[in-house]
Amino acid sequence: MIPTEDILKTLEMVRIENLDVRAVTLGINLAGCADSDAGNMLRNLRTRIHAAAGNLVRTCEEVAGKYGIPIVNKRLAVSPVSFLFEGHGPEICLPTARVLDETAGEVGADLIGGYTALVHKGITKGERFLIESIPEVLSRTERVCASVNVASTKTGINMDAVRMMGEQIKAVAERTAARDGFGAAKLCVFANIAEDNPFMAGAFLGEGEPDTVINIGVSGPGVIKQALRRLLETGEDVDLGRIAEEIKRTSFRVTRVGELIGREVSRKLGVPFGVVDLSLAPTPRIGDSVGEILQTMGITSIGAPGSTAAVALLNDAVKKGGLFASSSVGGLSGAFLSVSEDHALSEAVRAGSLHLEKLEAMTSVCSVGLDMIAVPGNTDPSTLAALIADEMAIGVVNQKTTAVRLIPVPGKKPGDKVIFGGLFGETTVLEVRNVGASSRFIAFGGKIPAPLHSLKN
Amino acid sequence: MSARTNRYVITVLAQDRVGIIADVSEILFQLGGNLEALSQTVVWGWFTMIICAAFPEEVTAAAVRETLEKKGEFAATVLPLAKTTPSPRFEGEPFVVTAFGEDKPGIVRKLTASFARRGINIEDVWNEVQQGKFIVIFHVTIPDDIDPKDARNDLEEAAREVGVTVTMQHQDIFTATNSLSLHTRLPRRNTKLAAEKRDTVL
Repeated sequence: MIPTEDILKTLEMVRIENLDVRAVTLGINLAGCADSDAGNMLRNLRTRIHAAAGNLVRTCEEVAGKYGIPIVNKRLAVSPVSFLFEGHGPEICLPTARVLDETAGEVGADLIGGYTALVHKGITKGERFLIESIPEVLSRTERVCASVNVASTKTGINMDAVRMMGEQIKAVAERTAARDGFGAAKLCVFANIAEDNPFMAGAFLGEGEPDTVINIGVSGPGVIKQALRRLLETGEDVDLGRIAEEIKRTSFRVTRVGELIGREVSRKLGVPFGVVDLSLAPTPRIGDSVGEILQTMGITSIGAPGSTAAVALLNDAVKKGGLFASSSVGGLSGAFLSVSEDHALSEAVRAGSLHLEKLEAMTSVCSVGLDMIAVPGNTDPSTLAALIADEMAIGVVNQKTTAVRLIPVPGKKPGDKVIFGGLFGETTVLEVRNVGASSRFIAFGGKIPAPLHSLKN
Repeated sequence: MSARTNRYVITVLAQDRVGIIADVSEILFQLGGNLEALSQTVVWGWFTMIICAAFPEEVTAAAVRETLEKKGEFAATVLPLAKTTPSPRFEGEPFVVTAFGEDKPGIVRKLTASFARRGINIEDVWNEVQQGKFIVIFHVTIPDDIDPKDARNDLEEAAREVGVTVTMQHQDIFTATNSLSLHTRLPRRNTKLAAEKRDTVL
């Protein structure tokens, strides 16, 4: 029999500390849907997604009920849609995105990722059509999420693509101005994009993946914060090593939940199990915040000196605990600093303690990058591109995934409040300093060569 | 001494203190008994124990009870045990049911009636009331022919009637979050293997 204390502890994690499975994401390869006839291709897409994902939501609800653990999001991640566009004209883009959107809705999925182009070394015709269609697609669909990989450690940074993405982010925000530029919240620009990431907006099914696959995103910021709070309340002599140890143990528990539920969903669907992504993903709920963990660790104003070191400790301990709990770990696996989705980070921005530059520094030691940050609507595309370039450089040089999800909110200036709603949360517009001062650098275009892999001293 | 042909099931109740099991086992040893199975628990400072033991032909159940009560000042019950008493087997999936809320009479009665109606066996139960707050944890086996969803609906209705909150979760979630093994037991197709492993250990 399970000891009573253990049962009560697990119940507390679920009922009070917001333990859940953040995302069950079904990867679907769409390569077999390609057809030179647009009508055939769209029909193929619909049939393929229905066949692969028809039982996803029902199965997730069944498994969530059995274990009493909520599965917050059920999502689809398809292989890069740009591959389907080769041989077609740009007019194929919107109808394809609409079919993805409608079909995802029909099977009950919250979001569908994979409106993706991998252009870190060069851009094909299909990829160019996809990138150019992003503003229209994201403003006219609900569930479609787009991602573009513009850099990798092996190939360097494609600065032509970076410049294009600065323009596209600005255009998406302007097309969705009535919703405070919300369309840009469904667009991620990546370096070293993960092929098995279950989290949106960057989820897609990579080339090395099976035909279909289940990837799991766990959550747990609330559980870790409460574990640290209890540790500090014991009155014991606690140092940072002990804090790291407690985070590891808690991360183990959280990851085990993902592993158990993911494997059962995968078995019931007859789909291979992929990975558990160990990322600490916040929600706007109080008590479910990565920022609150940092505060519990003694960084009372997030963004203060020490914030980067605290994030580094947290990120590393989460991985160490999680790796022991799962036989298959992947995706992004780190602590998310998703500003609008994390009420403590959002509050730090409002209070003026957290600035863009400090966020950038913190992303050098955790996943996933400058995420869900509202910037002034008049920020010019080349400055947006320069922000992307900086974040890509961090990913490329440090051999890690980094991403940018900026929302230049039309008509809003620093200090203005923005509400996206739901899991996307709310935030305050952050100041971007030195706007326009990097336009010449961005205008050069071309490539930033891949970094050295030797002479590391 | 003659062969141990009399087998009894014995319960012992006493206010908890150090040395109860030592005293009881000494008494049974003096009677020529051999312990075959034993389990104990303590609730609110009261110790209770159940024992299966074999005794020589001339030792009667009444003699065992009287000796225990006289020498040890325990409340005891002793019943004869058939040689091959079949132990009922409850096949199914292990679930943990937890209910909590304001204390009042009839909560356990209502919930357990819901189990009994569906043929759900209670394997273990723990219940406590602290400062007017009631909590009960049942370990149950839900038979394979019962849909856990139906059992959950029944329970939730019963819980509503007595004003408590109830959760029903497969036991594996507690194993996963608290121990190194992922499952509480081997999949059913491996039960033969499990039995062989157990025999090897024994």
